Amino acid sequence: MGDPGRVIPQPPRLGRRALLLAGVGGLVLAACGGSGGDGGSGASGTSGEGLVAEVASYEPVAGRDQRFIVGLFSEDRGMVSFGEADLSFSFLGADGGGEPRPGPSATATFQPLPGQDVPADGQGPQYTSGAVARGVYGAEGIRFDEPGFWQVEVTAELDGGTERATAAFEVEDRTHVVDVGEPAPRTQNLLPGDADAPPTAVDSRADPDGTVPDPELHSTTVADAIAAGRPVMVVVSTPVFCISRFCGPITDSVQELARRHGDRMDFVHIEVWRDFEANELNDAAAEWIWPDRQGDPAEPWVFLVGADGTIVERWDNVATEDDMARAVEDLLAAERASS
Amino acid sequence: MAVRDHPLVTRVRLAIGGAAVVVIAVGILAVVAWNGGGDATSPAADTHAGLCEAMEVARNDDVEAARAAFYDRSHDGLHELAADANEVDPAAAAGLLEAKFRVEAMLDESPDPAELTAALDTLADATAGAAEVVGEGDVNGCG
Repeated sequence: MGDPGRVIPQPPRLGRRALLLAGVGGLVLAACGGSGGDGGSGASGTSGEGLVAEVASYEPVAGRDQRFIVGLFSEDRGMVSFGEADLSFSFLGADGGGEPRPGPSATATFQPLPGQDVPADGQGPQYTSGAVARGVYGAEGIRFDEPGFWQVEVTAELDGGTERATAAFEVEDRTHVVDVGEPAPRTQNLLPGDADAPPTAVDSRADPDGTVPDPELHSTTVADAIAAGRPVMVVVSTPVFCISRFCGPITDSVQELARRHGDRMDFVHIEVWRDFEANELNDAAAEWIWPDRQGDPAEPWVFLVGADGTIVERWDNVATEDDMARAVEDLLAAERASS
Repeated sequence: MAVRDHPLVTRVRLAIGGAAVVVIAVGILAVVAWNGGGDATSPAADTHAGLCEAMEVARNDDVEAARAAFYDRSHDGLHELAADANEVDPAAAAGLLEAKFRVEAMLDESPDPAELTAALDTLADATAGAAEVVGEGDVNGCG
């Protein structure tokens, strides 16, 4: 695996189609605003004063417990941040045309995008300046009992009233991305200085001379890390060409973890694009986020791999610094205990 | 004596009249939609206007105000525009995202206001270019 210079078959461009149909951005069916709003329908991107929900989970899958994340915002009033929001799911049928059948419900907590110095929580949800806080609301352990189209109704107490928004999304029967419990791809990712590829194929932030901003993330291959029996965190991302509105400096967050734990495990950044304009994915990235070449690939993803080469955790789209740090520390503690 | 039209003539007249009403109504709606009653602009134009505001305050050394204007008025719109441009002109999308990334990287530090202003100017130009390729041609200069 992992011929990093090879041009793989053309993936669908990571654009709006991916955002809307693959669940990257969800399919926003309805948005309503105001106290006690009841979920009037609308389309993604419609403007107005109402609350809009945008599903941020990349690939909800049927029949398993999983994290579900959704962003809340108003075109006029900005992002919703802090506190909690209630999620109620309904099944809309295999084609989305059925009468809603109630599904699971959960309380979601605010999860800030990486790289922010957000004030301590302790307040309810509120509209915030994007310069102050940005993030999503996430709940763990959500299980969809069958594939098809689902909708989530999000309810939040905002400005002294109850606001609701509804978004639809597709739940698939299986994951299309390498999964927890599976052997990690023994990827021969590009490294700085590889004559085979332009510097920006190593990292979209690379200088023309090949200098990358996070050299610790480009010092080894995943294959070598696993062969050495070291745990490895892999971030598949494109810092420059990320299109999702939930983009954050997740690669920088992984770099920060590398500074703290790099003596005990490896950290690898795999750039998504070999050539963004030509729509060429790096083969190394495809091994992780588009292994079956089915559907629309999405980024970023973060994977945590144990010393035995098995994937133990993965995060789609948004991973908080706390969640990643906790998982790394738990893994290292488990590795120590077993050695 | 009143002259009565043949029923077919009446129907044709009614049809023409109805069509005229429809055409006028559609025309009015189109004008309203385009002008928003005088104020509305395309999303790209709003995004661009936010960059102009950020540039203006950065030029006056107020980096925090520039950060607020960028994230509150332009950031999400830039992502939307990049996604749209990416469907039709990846080079325009690439230029837009590269310019956006430079601004974001500067805002993460303590940027020199003049350098930030220049980066915002480049981003505004890239925004206008991307807006044009997606057919939102009402983006004007910052004046």
